[in-house]
Amino acid sequence: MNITKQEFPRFHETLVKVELENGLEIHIIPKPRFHKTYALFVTKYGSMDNTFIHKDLKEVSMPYGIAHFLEHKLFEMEDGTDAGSTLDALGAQPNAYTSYNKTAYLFSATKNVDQCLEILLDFVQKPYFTKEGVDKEQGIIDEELKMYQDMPGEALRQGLLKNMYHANEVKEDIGGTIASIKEIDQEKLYLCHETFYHPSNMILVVVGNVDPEQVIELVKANQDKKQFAESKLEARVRKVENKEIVDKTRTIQMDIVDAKVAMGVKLQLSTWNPQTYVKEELAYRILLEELFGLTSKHYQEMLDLELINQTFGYDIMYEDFAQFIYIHSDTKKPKELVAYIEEIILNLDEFTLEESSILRYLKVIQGGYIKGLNFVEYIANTYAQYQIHGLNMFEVLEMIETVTLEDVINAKEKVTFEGFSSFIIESNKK
Amino acid sequence: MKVKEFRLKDIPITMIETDKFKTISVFVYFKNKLTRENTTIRSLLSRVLGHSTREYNTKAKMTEKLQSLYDAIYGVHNQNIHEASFISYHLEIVDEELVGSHTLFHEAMQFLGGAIFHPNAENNMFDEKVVQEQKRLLKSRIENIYNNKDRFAYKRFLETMAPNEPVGISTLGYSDALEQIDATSLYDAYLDMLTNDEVHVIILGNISELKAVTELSFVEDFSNNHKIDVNLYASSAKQVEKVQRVEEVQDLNQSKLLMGYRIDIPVKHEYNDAVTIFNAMFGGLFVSNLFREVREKHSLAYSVFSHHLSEACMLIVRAGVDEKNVDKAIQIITEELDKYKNKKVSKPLFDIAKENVLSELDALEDSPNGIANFIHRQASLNEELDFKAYKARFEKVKLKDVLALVQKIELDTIYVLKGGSK
Repeated sequence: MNITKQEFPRFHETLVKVELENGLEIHIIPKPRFHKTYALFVTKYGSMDNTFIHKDLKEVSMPYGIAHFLEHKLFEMEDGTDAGSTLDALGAQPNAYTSYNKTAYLFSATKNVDQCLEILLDFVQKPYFTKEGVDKEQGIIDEELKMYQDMPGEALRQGLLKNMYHANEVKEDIGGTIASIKEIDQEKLYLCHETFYHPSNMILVVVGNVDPEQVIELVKANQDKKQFAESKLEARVRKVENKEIVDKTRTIQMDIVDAKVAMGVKLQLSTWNPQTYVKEELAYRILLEELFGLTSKHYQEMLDLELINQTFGYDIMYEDFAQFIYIHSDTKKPKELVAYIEEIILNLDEFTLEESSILRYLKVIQGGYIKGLNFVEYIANTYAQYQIHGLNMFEVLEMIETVTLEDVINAKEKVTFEGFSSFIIESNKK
Repeated sequence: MKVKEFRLKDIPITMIETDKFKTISVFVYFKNKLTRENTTIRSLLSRVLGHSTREYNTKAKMTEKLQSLYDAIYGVHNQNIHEASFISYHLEIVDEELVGSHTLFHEAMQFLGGAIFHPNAENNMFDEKVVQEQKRLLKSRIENIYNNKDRFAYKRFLETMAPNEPVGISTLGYSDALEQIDATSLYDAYLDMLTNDEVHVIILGNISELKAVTELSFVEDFSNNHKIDVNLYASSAKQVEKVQRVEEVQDLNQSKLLMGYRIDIPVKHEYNDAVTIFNAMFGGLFVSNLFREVREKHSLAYSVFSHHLSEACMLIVRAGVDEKNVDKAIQIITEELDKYKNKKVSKPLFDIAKENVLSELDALEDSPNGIANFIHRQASLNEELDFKAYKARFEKVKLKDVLALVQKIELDTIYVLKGGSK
């Protein structure tokens, strides 16, 4: 066991990390002045991983939403208790979430951290599923999905993704559908757990008021007591995606006041490299800031033309499984807004970028990082997000500080009008 | 963490010196009496003040300035607490040492002083274009509450249960009142705030008192501070005459159920801290009665919780359930509360809830905003500013206090925003 300790004097932070014999990586960032400790136990398994090659079974396809279902079910313990309640009882705040490429189990606690860590490791690594438990969970997740269905913002994003993607599973709701979760049973849950919850596919991130050596000792002792067969995961199968979008534009109606518009640009990338992705992603973010940010002429012009309101926003998804730009707003003039943005994308060649804005934006990135370091939650989640790609959060800043005007120009050239698509939700009121 | 209180000229300053955080935060609070008439203009005013200043007179120019200060956070917010309306300026910047600057704090305070005393106005009126733009944006926010069914249901619930109480006054404001406001009347409201409101400044971070006092010199431009005497909490719960049940129908997949209770424990009552613990037991935790019964046992809801509006003497239960299960949920919630009234209460659950509340109080000290909100609330109520002393009050709460206080809870209103059983 080789414990490494790294100091980051620029941020006044320290990182202690180790990989255990069973493959589990532990990353600890001590924050001795804080009351809170935040622990995040993450598997590299999300809603994108429905189809995979299992060493004994070859290709396996699972119902949509199973990663999220599994997240709910793991809290149920064999002795009839619920891990959430057990952590509650120790004064901790437990939670969990599922995203496209990871599932995370976490707690925040100001005391009993050792006990909480043991519980976290145990409930995630000791699955116990019954038919009754699965049936009951279907009722709860039904209500969760219905809640999302009533949120027009969710329908907007899903609608746009379905316009853009033919096969890529990013277009499916992370929670699945009311029909797909009915196909889930305990055998499928056990199989997914066996495949993706192997220690070698997981990381533990602990940030807060802890002694790193003591945490490592505790986790090691806990893992030494458990037996793990060899990992059964051979590969994740990602569906082949067309270059073309599905629909240029589509409109549906919902019971809302102002219309909601989402626009996306599907990016065409030849390769995706974890070493360069943070820099490339930043180049797109700078481009978006320059095009639509608060300091841009387009933003003020859209306000003046009453095309947008304060809900206007944009983001980029830049992951190995999907890369696209996402722009959205509530508006009284949906068609005019789409036409306005289309025009900008169509004439992107003529748009010039300033060196000075790039320098200013690098200050924004630096400031954002430092502000985030005030919060143990931010540190743990950001750290895990980068660590999934084998990157260190504290080194990432240095990587992105090398971004240049040329990088942003390169990013701009990959935004094509052919990849542009829009989705509109109109009010059904007359 | 050291809390110091002093005055600059006549303005009270609360300073929290700590090197725990990597940012320095300054809050300037303006307090006045809240009325149904002034809530809209103070809401719009906070938006216009947060939009630009005289020196940085467009959103773009102001954003560029803030970005050059390593993405300083700047905002002006309005918040209502019972009969008080607060407008607060918030500026947060990174600790200059971490970016190798010696001027960052100075520049940031110059900016803040300018924002407070030299807003984007001339000849006694705000910039007309900015006012029109912010009026349109605020109007659209008010109207689009309808799209967020949880928020919409909560708003309708408050309008049903407490139409004439301060808690029923919208913090965003009202569309019809917004129409009446122009750039001149808004500037009058600004002058009124500047000259007649009670001012309180909070500064928090790794900064010496000397440096803070020097850089906060703009505070000396305030005329004498006024004491605004308003109630920050109801002195008793409104009496329930008859339980009302109101149902409204929309095209929804899931119904929103809200149950409003009167709880006759005012903020300074000996049992007020015990209500916080009761709320955690009843509907605030995974182990709480509502989560266990409504969600886990009967599988009726994904989301179910209770929250305590202490200043309004109200307790609210909220759940998202299928239309066909609304009555069953109401029945279970009622039975769970009756168990308390009949003294069928679990001591272990009480211990867990108390532990959780204490842990949450500790966690407040881990966030600059958490500390500032705590200090602001406590200072407004003339209460203890020391975290330890505040926590000690919760440590003293006993199970028998919970058993006593539940007798003072009475159902007032059931509101259902009905969807179908799709």
